[in-house]
Amino acid sequence: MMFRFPLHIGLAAVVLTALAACDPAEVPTSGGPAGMRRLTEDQYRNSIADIFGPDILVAGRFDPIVRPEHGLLAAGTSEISVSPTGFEQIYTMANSIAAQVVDQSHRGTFVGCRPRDVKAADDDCATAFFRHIGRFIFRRPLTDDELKARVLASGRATRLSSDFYQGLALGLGSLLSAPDFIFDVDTTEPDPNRSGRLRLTSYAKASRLSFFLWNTTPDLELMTAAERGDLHREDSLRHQVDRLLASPRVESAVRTFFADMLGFEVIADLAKDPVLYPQFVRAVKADMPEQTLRTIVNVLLTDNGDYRDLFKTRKTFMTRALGVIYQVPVPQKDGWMPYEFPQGEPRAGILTLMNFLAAFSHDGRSSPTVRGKALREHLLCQPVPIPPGNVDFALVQNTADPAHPTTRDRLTAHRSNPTCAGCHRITDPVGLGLENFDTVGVFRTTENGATIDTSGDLDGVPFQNAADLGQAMHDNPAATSCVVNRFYEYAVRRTVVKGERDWLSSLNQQFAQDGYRVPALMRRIAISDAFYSVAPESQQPIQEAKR
Amino acid sequence: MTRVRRHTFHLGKNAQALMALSFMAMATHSTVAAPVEEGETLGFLVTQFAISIYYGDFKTDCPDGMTPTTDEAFLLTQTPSERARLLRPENALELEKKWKIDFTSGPNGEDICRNPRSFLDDPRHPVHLPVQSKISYGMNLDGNVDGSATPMTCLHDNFTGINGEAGVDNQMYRIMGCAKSWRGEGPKFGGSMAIKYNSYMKDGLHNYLIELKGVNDRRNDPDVEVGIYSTEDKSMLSGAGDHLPHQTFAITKNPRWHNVVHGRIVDGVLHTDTADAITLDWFSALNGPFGAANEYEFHRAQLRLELLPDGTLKGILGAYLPIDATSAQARNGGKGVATNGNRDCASEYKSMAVYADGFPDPKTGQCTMISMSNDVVAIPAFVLHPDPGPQKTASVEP
Repeated sequence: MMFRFPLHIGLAAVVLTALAACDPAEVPTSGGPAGMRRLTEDQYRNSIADIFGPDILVAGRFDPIVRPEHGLLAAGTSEISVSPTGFEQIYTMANSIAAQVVDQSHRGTFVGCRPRDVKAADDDCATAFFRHIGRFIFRRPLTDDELKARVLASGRATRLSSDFYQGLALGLGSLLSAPDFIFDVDTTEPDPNRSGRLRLTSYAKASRLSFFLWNTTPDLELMTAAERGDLHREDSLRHQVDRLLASPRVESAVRTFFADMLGFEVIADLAKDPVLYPQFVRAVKADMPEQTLRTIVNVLLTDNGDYRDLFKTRKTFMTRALGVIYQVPVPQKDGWMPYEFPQGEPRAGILTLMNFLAAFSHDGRSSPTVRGKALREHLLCQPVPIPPGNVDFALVQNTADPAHPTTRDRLTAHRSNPTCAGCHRITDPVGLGLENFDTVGVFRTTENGATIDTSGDLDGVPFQNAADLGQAMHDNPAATSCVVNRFYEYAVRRTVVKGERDWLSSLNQQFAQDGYRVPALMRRIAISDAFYSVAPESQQPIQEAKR
Repeated sequence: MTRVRRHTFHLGKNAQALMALSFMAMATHSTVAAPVEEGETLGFLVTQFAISIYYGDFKTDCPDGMTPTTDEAFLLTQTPSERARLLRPENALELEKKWKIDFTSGPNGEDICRNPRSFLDDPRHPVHLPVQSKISYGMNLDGNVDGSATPMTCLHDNFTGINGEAGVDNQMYRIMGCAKSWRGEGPKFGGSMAIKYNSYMKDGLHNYLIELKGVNDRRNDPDVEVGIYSTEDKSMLSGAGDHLPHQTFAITKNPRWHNVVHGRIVDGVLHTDTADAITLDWFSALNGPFGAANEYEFHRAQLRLELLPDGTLKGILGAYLPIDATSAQARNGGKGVATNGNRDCASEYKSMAVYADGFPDPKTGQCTMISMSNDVVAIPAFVLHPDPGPQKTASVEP
């Protein structure tokens, strides 16, 4: 896709750098717990591609990450381990990658020395190889013990196989299956500027920064800055942050964040009744999340726009397959093309794109309740209680009931049960605003022959239709505070702690001052003390092993 | 009541520039101007386009039974004892060789489907058993009701239309309506030939578009422009294998497959004037997968299509088919049509030649085309012209 991010972000970075000089002192935080986070599949794949190149195949399955209640999947990475089956996959992938790295076509690139005899062990060459490559895999230099262990193992394997490179592959495989690679570990050290407090080591800072802004392992320049200890200096840290933010690779992080925030993981198992909704075909299902992500990237990065405009934008992207759902002509035969819904059309904002509409509906019918719940939880950070176990859904599920032709009719009747009314009052008035779109997102004005009423209200703000709902979301302060909290949660990959709330409040204010620009928000987080701060109650420092 | 949604494109500047360049490049191939018309423009994808078979009472339609398939036709040439011998399981290979190779080859190795004319005098490949009933789909193409010869036609029998219309010309149905490979197993399946023809469009081998321009009133409008086009874009199908509505298709750049004819809507039914010829892509056309040149030709063609409340068009196309061009569709498939398809190409050709009722050869007086009716069903779609400038198209929504 066309990507004009660097210029805009570069300019934004200059402006923000100037603004930052005027910022008041940062609100202190308690710091978060030091921990370790398992790499996501994307982070693992990105890391391998960045270390060894995109032609190294990564074939395997990853343990799923569990979404914490009312949190991000990213936060779930700090709450999970690796299952025995998952480790088998990691181990298999590691050995497969290692074999590719040392094969005939790649060894010249990655192994900087030649063994004296390819059939014999060469500790000097192996040491040089592991010292070089290990630094990128562990995101820090290997300790002497770690290095020696790999050299020793490689030597033994070489003697057994009479192949130096097979020996190297065994040692490399052990690095790639080590916890130090699979987990991003918060190594800490005493903070020289605050007695009794801990701080992240320079390497841990580099990892945190890189996984946040690029969703991958630190690059050479960031590693070098970490090695020099530069990331403990404010000016150097800002320089690195601005450098990373100026890269198109930020798009990967923004995409990953919003796919997480919007709960895209439900799409994999999403199905629709093929008799009622034959247009929900494989190509449509594949394109629908991408359409939303392209729309988000276009507003937030390409145009460096206001986050709130996501709820109002008429600009999106279209494929021929999606044209069937939106019932619009798509001149471009293959791939994506920009598209703008005309003024007066019922669609505006990401809530009216089919991804949200279809992902949060039932297989055979729309659901204002599910849509309203998703809107509340994903976009306003307002948890909705789960329904009690003894609810009778017969009435709302009977779409053929002539007495209740529309979903509104059925839900109104359902809410007459006081047990149900409490939660439905939170979700339904919002979700009903999207009832002009069926369960796959096709526009409609009637249901069972009855005209659909899309009026409702969002936290006291009345609306008449989906476009009005988008405007209400745009104006709702919870929408912006939610994305601020979520972005920070994504950045630190853990649940936000109580001692960070005041700082997040100030960050929310700064977000408004920055015109609700997401790159500016990411920069504020990345250069903050809070992002790297470690709570005193983290007990003993998690020290890097001695080199 | 149907409703039209009309959309105007708002492309990004870069995309606009690219699209404009693209359309300008294509415009040199277009022969169809984009007239400025009033009223709405409706686009459709043709989803059914195959010979109409009227399924009346079978004993009335085909009192002599079905015209045999190729293997059956071969066995009929054998004595009863030889037939019984060949049908024994241990002789299956011999039987297969005889009907698939010997029976479908001429004395000099001619291919029964590639050279059907070579078999005109071969009694093993007789004319099809004709339909005997009096009712058929179709139109009165020649303007008379008695089937008498005219300067444009040869003497022939007429049918009565299913709605009582007199003088319906449909000799194709007469000779194929009792052929097993055309009639199929019954109306539920639409006839095996219809299934085959319609599957070509599902497979994307060729697809056709219809566009109505200047529609001011969908019930009655005396002045409508009707475009019938080929498209090279493939259709997206549902999981059940049905064409999906509201897809976008670009009209082919090949001007030979652009057809525009005047029409009128009367009580919700579109009637076109008679088009001298409608020419469309056939999947084995130039540069097609089978490499041979071929087209779908409909001469003195008329469309009669009802605009249904669900947004679809449904009706028939009546026309004369050139028998040589029509047999070429089988010709391109070669002997496989006679064996795998089990169609006796020689009998088909001979039948068409005998029953041809249109466009007599000035020298011989022998008619060269045969009247026919095609079932047509078309669903809402966006039709894009290869013309520069903003695209104006709409898809019908129920």
